[in-house]
Amino acid sequence: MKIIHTREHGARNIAEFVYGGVVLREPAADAGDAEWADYLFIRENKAAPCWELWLHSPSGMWYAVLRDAGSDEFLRVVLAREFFAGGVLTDDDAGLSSSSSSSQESTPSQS
Amino acid sequence: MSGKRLGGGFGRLIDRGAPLDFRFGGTALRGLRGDVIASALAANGVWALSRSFKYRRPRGLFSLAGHEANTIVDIAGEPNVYADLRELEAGMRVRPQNSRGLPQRAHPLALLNYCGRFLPPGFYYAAFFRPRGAWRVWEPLIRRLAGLGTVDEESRHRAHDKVYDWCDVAVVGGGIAGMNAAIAAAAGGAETLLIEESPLLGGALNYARETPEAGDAEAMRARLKAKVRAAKNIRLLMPATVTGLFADNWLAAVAAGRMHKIRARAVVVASGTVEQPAVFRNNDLPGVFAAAAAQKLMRLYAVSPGKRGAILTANDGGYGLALDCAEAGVGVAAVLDLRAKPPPSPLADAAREAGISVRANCGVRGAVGGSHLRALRLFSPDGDGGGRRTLDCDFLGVSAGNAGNGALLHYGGAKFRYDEKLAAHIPCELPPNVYAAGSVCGANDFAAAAEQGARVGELAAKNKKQILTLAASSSSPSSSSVSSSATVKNWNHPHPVFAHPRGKDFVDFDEDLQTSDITASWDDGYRDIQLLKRYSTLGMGPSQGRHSQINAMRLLARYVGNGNSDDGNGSDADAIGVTTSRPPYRAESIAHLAGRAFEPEKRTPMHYRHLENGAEMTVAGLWLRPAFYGGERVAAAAEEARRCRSEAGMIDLSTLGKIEVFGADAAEFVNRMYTWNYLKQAVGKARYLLMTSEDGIITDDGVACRLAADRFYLTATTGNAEGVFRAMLRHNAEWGLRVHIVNLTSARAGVNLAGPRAKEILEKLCEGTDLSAEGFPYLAVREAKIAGMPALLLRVGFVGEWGCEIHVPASCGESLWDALAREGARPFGVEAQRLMRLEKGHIIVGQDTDGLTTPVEAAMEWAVGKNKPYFVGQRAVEIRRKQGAAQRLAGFELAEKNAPCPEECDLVVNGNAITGRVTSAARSPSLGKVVGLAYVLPEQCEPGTGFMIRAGSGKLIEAVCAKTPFYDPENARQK
Amino acid sequence: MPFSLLRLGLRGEGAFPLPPPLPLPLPLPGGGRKRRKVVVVGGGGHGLAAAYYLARDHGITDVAVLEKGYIGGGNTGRNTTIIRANYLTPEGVLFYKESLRLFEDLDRELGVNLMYSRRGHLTLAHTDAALRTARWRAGVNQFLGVDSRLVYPKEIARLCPQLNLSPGARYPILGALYHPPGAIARHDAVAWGYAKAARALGVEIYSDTAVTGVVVEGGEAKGVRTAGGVLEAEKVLQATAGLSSQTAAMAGLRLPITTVPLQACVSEPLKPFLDAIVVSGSLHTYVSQSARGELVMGGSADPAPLYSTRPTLEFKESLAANLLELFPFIGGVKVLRQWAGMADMTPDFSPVMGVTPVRNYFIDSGWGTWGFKATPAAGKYMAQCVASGEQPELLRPFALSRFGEFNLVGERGAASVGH
Repeated sequence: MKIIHTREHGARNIAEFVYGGVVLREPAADAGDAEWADYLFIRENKAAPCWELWLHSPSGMWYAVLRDAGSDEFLRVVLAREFFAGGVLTDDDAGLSSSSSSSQESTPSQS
Repeated sequence: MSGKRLGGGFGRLIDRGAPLDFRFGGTALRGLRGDVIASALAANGVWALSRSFKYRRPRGLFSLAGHEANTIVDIAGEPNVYADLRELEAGMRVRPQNSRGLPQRAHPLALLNYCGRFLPPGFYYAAFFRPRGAWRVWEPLIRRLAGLGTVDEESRHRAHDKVYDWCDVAVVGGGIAGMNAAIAAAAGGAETLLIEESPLLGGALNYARETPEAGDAEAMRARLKAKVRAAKNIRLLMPATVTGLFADNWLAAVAAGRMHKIRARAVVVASGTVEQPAVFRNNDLPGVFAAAAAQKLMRLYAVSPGKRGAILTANDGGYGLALDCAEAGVGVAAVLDLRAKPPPSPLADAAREAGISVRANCGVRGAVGGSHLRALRLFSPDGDGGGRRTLDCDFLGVSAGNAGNGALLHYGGAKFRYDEKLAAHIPCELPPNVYAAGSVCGANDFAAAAEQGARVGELAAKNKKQILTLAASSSSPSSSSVSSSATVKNWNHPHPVFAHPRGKDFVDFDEDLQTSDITASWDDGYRDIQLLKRYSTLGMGPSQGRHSQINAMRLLARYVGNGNSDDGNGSDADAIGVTTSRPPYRAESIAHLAGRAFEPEKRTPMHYRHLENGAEMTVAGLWLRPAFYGGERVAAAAEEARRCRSEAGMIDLSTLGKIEVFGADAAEFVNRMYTWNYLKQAVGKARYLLMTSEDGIITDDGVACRLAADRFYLTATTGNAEGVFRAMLRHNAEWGLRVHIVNLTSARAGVNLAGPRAKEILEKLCEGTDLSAEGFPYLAVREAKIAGMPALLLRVGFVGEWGCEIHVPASCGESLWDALAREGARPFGVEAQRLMRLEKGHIIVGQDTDGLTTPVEAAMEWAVGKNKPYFVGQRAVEIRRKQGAAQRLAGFELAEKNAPCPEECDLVVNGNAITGRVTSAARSPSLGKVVGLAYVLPEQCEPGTGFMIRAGSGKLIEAVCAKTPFYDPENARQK
Repeated sequence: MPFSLLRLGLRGEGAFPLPPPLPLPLPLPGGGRKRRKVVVVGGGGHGLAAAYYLARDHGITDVAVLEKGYIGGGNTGRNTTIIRANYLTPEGVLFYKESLRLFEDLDRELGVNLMYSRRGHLTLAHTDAALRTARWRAGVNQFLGVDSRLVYPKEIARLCPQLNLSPGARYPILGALYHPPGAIARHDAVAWGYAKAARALGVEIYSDTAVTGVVVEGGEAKGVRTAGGVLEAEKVLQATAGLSSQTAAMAGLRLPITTVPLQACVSEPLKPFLDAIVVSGSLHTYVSQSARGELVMGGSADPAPLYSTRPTLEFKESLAANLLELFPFIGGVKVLRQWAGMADMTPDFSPVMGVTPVRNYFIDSGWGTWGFKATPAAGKYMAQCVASGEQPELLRPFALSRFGEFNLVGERGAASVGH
């Protein structure tokens, strides 16, 4: 079982966390339907580092996590609140996808 | 009799004074405490433990270490138990595989033995499927022939608790390298956990020797053991099998019926080797053992491997066994050394001195015997000389080499390469915080293993990376200070595979695969080891290829290299490779994996009142809720509803999500999370809540109570409460609004009190609170005292009567229930509530909506704010509204009053098309007719429009759209 | 002994020999032809089936299938081999009904025993909501001619007497959707069968040949790049489940797909005791017993995207607990091997098939956890799509364009109704 290190809770088992989807910027209110469809459904889905949201369930704290979907390495873990408030992203992180996310919490249970 | 045993000095594990009776294949036998099943059988002269998978050949132990399916037996309640690993218990009833009585006796299906030519690899792909339906006839027969153990359907699960453990350094394997690693790690200050699979520390030191003096190994063992015992920060876990190594050094180990889950900062894998068979004709006969198995039989169990044996060797190991036999008084016909010119060796010299015949450049072409080894046919591997000779013997110890037991390293992501010189797979790259030491790295001699173990233990304690640079005995040792590779000597025969033209030269015992099966699979075009595995089933048996992969790889490398294959390019062993090793290292029982199978269950504060009232409980997420109180479901629900509508009813709402939002931006927050308008909601008022996901799908509903300008109390449906709470936290992490969000779901109990007498009951209990129509109108919210308890009162009307939701601290839930009951409120369950809300036409999210329902389809546009700047899902709802809905939820009644009531999820059809479905339907006792909700074509949703429902029976029922609410359309009763 | 085995023995033939592998690397610039009519990227079941049907149904034999590893080595060889048509949406049911129909005759068509075994498929309902969904599926299935029906504990006891039907269970079994045609098969043999049959019709199959790029000019696919150079093609079909997004990205396409690991495991071989295929949605568990006697078991996909086939202990732990709920006697059975595949999940739990905005570039993707059972139909209709350049009627609901049109398939309804 993987460990996620957070500043607030130290090293915790990943079982305490809930995946909440990739971080995407919501289109502007006046964006066209196509842009919204893209935001809602299309995913970059790269085997590369990507910012995601993870909830630390026991504390109710959401984290923004830079994780490599190729290696499963957790590269950075910061409070989502601070992440969105700015000041967390470095230039390197600026490659945030302009398209989008909703959480995919339900997955089918059968083949 | 517990069988004949060797004398003193042998039998380290057995208690000669503790006989244990057991049965095998129906025969009563006796073993000793400390025996494994296989050693007890061997002591009784029973060597054949099973009949094989495909040819039904008699099979016995080879490794005495659980590395081949030969030893798998059934014991009561447990299929597929390794007889060479499982300790004998008194009264055990042991059943052999594929054999009714003792496997050594003749077996009718042993005829299959002669059918090999008709059963090439993958034979079942070529047959049994013509004509159509043939497989249906053949399959049951083949299924019965295949398979190993029999599941006992009467056995029951016992709880096997799990153990959580952690340490700085976990050392897997308590042999020479592992003990040295543990001692060094502990000396370096690490909290160390040493895990050993067998009941003895010391590994090979318990049975093998490196010097003519058997006592030397014992002395080394004693020294190491004393050091381990003396170290304060070494804990021992044994006997325990580490079955898996997962991400971030998460180890699974099974010990004493429990799964241990161990987090280790560093893991040292010192798991030793698996002794490999030599391949020759009839190499599977009972009586052919790994040399170490023969040594263990004697040293650990005081069982003689036979009367007069032969030893096939490619290293010093065979000579060690010869000396052990001599010491035990077991006859040795000859040591057959596969090497043309065995290098000088003190052990070999000692064997010769002891009068043991040694033949160099001598191999085994085939074994002879029916159900046990009788003789060997010999040959000279290096060509001429020797001729065709036969050697009589009743056992053969094979020491042709071993394979690193590197499964855990594989799971961790280590990389290996096949060293042609050492004829061994050696790890060459390790994952972070994982270390390897001892013979798993090729360090086959005691000194090298000890040295490497000590060095690696030190590195692990210091968190320094281990760099593996293999240094074979001929090359110079690495000088790197952190390098931990051992100087190793050649132990393995480069090619202990001696194919026989008449076959039965087994590469894989589990799957009955002969050399020709492997090469034929290659010739059939399966020219990737992964494909070959899948076609031939090489390594797919219970031992997962631990005794077969390396020999198969060698066989193929030479076969391809010699141009036997039309590839003709030649290939080395590394290019052939081995298949991916997958956890678990040893099969894990479902009982151990499941543990206590803990399933949390949430009960409301009134749970026991429901049970006292005879409630039938239903599962709602983790919660249990009363479905109805006694009797038959439909009738009970109707009666409960009737009482509620005529007097007063109450339902336990404690499972509802209850979330408090407070702070300067509370109204703004609620307004963004839900579809309707909440900015101007008056304090002291309740308002319906509808939530959509970002893609515009209805996800939840509830009620918002504005308790103050900056304070909201929200409810959510039982199943979605947690999800709603999480979504709120998530969105606000992004929005940064000034609110606190508190999940009060389990902290608050709730009751909905409804009915013509509800108000009167409430008035009695809430003295001093104005409950008049003016003082406490529909949708009002009040904080009040009820029977002395602090409560929040919500005037809502889900079931369509004058009703009030009463929310109190969870600790007051039962008192509230009792107080209401004393005043005459009658409990009703979820079923009655579903019926009454349907009469009112209210939807249930998740029943009347599904994973793609938008507010437009659910006919809920009224709950979507028109001029809001934003809510979650707003744009998607808008886009979907523009598109127009494909279906729309409508109330309906049946055209014919006496037609059968449709069931929920019966289809709505229009000619050949499915146009919707019934989401809710019931025969309403208060209305005397069937009412329901259904998705219909948008053009069919006007009241009075007819449509067809397809009942489960296939019959069509005519329905007519109707206005909702069905019951009390003016809502007069709830006002 | 069947005659076919006698023949094997007497003639010394292999059971199911594949044609000799083609020489590597591909004969490209300098040697051989640089151009094919169709290049199929991905030599799994779907890609091989598409190649076979291109040749058989459309006479297009100038086809090269490029596989980066070995044939059938991806999800074709990692799934739990369940074949069924009891879907929820009419679109899904019609598609899988066709696939099931093709599957039932496939062994004789391809000349290989696929061990296609009709076992009956039970989707257990532990809640009223699950029971409603089962009724919904039964209704849709029956209406479209697929054999499914709602059954209750009494009949379940007859169909699968091993199940724990005690009403006092933590998750009592209230009923089930019973689908008699539900089957299992030998997954590898499906890939091998299609490969051999395709080769016999002239299709080329190259293993160990990775496609490193797609040549797109003026919005039209012109070929693919390999280590050996560019292979030109009139048309390109991608069938790379698990890696669909990455392959599509080479053609400049972005997909509605998230790749997540899907795990499975098998037990040690056991004498036959379980005939039915049992699925429990609430308990996220499914199990069947193979012809070899192994219990083949699976659960839900891992939640977070990952391009890795690493297994976890937690998967086995929860699966084991759930299995004990269903089969209380199963504690002594042992898990022999666990593994994972990479599943392409789509927002509506339905595949993405057919034409794309890139002309002459076709896509067969989004197979999530339901790809194996679709193999023949996906192959047949993708072949039609590639041959005609148009979206076949049966695949129309699964077009990539549906997402831009907010016109999703409702299969997710089944997964989301009633929590």
